[in-house]
Amino acid sequence: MNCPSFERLIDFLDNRLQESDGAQIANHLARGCEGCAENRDWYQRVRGVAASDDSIAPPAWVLKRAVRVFDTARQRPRLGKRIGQAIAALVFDSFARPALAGVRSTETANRQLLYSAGDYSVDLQIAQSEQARADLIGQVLKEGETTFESVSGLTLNLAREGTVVFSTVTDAMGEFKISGMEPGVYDLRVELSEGSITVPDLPLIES
Amino acid sequence: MKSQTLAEAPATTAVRDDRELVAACLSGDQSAWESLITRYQRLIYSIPMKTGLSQDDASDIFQSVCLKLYQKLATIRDTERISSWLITTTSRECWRLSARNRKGGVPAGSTDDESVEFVKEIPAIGPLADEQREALEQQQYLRQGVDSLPERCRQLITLLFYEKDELSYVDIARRIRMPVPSVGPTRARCLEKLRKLLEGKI
Repeated sequence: MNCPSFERLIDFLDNRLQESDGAQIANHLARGCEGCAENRDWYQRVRGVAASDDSIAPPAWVLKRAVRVFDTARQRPRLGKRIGQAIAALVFDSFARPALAGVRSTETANRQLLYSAGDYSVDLQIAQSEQARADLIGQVLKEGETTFESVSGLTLNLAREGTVVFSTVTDAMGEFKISGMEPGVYDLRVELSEGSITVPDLPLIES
Repeated sequence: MKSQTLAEAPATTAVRDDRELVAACLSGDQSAWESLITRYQRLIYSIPMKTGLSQDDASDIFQSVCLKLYQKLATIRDTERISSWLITTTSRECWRLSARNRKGGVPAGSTDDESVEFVKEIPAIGPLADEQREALEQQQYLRQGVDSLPERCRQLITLLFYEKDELSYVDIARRIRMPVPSVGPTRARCLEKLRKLLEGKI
């Protein structure tokens, strides 16, 4: 016998054929037809998976409540786990790296600093500007977030000896620039919906 | 699994794959989010129910896992692994809730003996065995495959695969308003389509 059609093979496997027709297909399979055996094995495997499926659908209200997660979360994109008043930890300081042998001191190079607190990081660059003043350029980032939703429009306060001397707001990508600051040590405070992050003892112009 | 519920899944579920749904969610399409969690609702909800947690606990876990999925949308790199991620995350939530129930769920005023008995009744949940994970993933793949078929095929295969009692061709023809002689050939064509959809998965 030639190979049965896929339809006939499935009928055979589902016991929907007359006995004599079924016997012919059984003989065909017994003779070791690889193609038909492959079809049979696939069908039986899939039927087995379906038969073992005892999954349970949640009640409609549970599904509806989960659908609302989308709207709620989008309306409050910045609401996350409260971090309170966190002090950022220094992760990287370009001036702390030993100078490479044979490389001239980079006296005029900008200083790169990276701070971290919770899911946030604050990337800073301190640059000398005119008349021995300093520019502070930076970006606030949230880990795993590619949309910048949590870091745009944040208020930043730069304080010296406890007094706020300059305030600004991050742009759509969490970036900011504070120009022409007097040399000194400052605290930079980033206001978040979950709390605030303070970058302490920020030396504007290298010490 | 009751076929009726599967057939009730929104038609949009069948149209877009996970990658497209995730991208649409990120661009603010709420219907994509609904399709995504409708697709995985059985997988998520069944894990706490199968591990012996109550319906209330299973509902809380469902909500919590969906929230975690939402928060993860922007960083999902491999949409092929959503099932696996959901199984791990849901199992972990079950374990966490079970541990919390066992630790702090003793009713006020219970004697020591009553407390011991109460805690014994709360299931201690460990990680899923590999074969359980594999079975859950395969069942999910098959449900998704069936959901992705054209409407007619989806109805037919759902009746054939998921109906509790085996139906005759006459019954199937009546249920989906199809001439009886068409049932066999249509089923074969639908199965071929399903096979292509499941290639490399089952």
